[in-house]
Amino acid sequence: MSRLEVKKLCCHFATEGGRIEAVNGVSFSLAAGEAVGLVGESGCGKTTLALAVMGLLPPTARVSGSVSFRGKNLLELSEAEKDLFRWRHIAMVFQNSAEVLNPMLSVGEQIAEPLRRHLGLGRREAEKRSQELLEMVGLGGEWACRYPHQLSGGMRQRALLALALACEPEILLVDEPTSSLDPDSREEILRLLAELQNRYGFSLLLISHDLSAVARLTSRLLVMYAGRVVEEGPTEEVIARPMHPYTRGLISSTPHLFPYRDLWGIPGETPGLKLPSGCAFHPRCTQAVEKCRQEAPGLAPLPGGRRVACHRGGIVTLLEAKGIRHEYQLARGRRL
Amino acid sequence: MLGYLLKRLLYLVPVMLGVSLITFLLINLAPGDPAGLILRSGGVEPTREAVEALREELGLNDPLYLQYGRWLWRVLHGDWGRSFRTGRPVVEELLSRFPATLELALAATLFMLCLALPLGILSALYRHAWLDHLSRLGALLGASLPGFWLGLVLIYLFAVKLRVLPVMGRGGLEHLVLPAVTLGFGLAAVYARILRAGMLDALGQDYIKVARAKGLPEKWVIGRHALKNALLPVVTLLGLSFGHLLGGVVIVETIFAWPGVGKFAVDSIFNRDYPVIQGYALFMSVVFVLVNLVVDLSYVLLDPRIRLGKGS
Repeated sequence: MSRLEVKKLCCHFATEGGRIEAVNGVSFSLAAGEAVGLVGESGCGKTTLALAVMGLLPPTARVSGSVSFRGKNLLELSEAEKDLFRWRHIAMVFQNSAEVLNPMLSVGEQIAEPLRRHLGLGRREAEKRSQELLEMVGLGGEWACRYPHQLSGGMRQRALLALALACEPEILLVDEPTSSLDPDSREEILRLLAELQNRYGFSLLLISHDLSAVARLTSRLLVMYAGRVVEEGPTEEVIARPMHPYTRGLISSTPHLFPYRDLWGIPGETPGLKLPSGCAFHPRCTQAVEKCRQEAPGLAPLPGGRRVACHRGGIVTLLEAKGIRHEYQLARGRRL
Repeated sequence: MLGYLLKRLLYLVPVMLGVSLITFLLINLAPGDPAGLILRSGGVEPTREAVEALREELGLNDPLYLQYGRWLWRVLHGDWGRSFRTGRPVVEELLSRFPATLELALAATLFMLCLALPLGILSALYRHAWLDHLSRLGALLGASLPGFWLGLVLIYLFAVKLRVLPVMGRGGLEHLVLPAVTLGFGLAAVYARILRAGMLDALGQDYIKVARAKGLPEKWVIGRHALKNALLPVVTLLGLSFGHLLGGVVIVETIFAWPGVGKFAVDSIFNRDYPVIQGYALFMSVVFVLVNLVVDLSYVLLDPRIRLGKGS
């Protein structure tokens, strides 16, 4: 039974330079307690997708498709009705930045707001609860009366988590929880996130370009490129045996997942606002054929609950070599 | 905090010394002889000897450093001198007119805020809508219409034609309306635009998106989250314009025959009333420094980033 069902979600922005298709026909579902990862490079539409689910895109955005939660299409609700859902049932951990918390209000006041609004707590109770929440994420309760500028990046990420969990939502969207954190803080945040999900059982959509973080926390993975999902499947399998050339490129540019091999990366550049014809990835793809230039491939199911959007049915194996060894002879006394 | 306050007050000493010295030099550089002007005020051309005798009596024949030193010495002993014109002590003259100026400054600021706050907020919220264009036009008018013109038009409309408000003078609340509106309108134009810019800047920040995501009602998002941030630049400027208003607004005080310090100061300048000019400059430097001190203190109260410093 899925808690959140997103179907054919499209987000278009009309600008003077033409139509920008930020999210194009994305469908996925989140089951109760499930953790799904959403990966892709910056600008591929990950954050737009999350904001569309929250109903927070600016009025210039044209959103179509459906976001079903408890049998209702959230996209069709009025702003006032959306306000009752936001944060109470679907909360979001926004991307960490210096301006993500209001510099004029204390951390506690900002956590207390949704408590008072959605749970109807009084001032005192909300204050007490926000201290508990801060303790839960490993910041002491005394941080409630501090102000955002007094927090370090890692502490702010914790405060954002406490804020998002204030009303114990069923669904948590987490946007880039590890960006701009040092390795130690990153480690702590990932551990905390796993622990909190265990404890509260919320469904998690983890948006990140940090594949190794996603690999640790999620069981299913969506790979996005230029506004479309190009591959989907169980996280472990997708990372072990990627089917889409783009996924393979992403994995081979992640040192954590790809430690002993050369970093290959992906040739070419992320497409700008003007997308290439056909499959948006074809100019960078190593196995593109004529059809890729003309037609965008749909997500086609593969065995094992996996899906891939590729006209060639995924990565084509031309030559397979096994057991090749490569040794380097270091000249004595010389540095590499 | 107390140390900071003391430091700022100590800072007054060099400011007052500098201001009084510069004023003293400037009035002595300007042509015109106070002794002659005083004697001529009776309507009769004075004799050379009479002028010379009065110059000697007022100490105007002494070298400049001696004149300044004598004035400074007296001021340090609490004696600001007497007006050449009226013969009354300078302090008394200034203090008796200051309440009128303060009253007008407060009323003008209040009127300005009542106009600028809603206009600034609404034109940011409905950017490029008719209200925004209207406020832009108002700002253009407010900034470019001279005070004397607006004052005269208001007098003509409300005092002469409609006869609902008094033409001039100081008295009850009804006397305050026209001069306060004349002054406040020009200021409101500028402030509405500043607040609009501040609001637009705040509304584009991530924390507004977070506030909306929290499902907060729009008036919380605007009032608690955006406005608090947008008001900071307004407060800074408010100190400057309020200090300026306290200095007296000569043209408006003249048009409405408002008995404030501004008009008095200008009259004194025309009459080369040296002790009054000196006293006025000294008084205003104190007012400016104090008003700015109050603004800085209010900043400390308003902005936690200044109140608490980084990482404290």
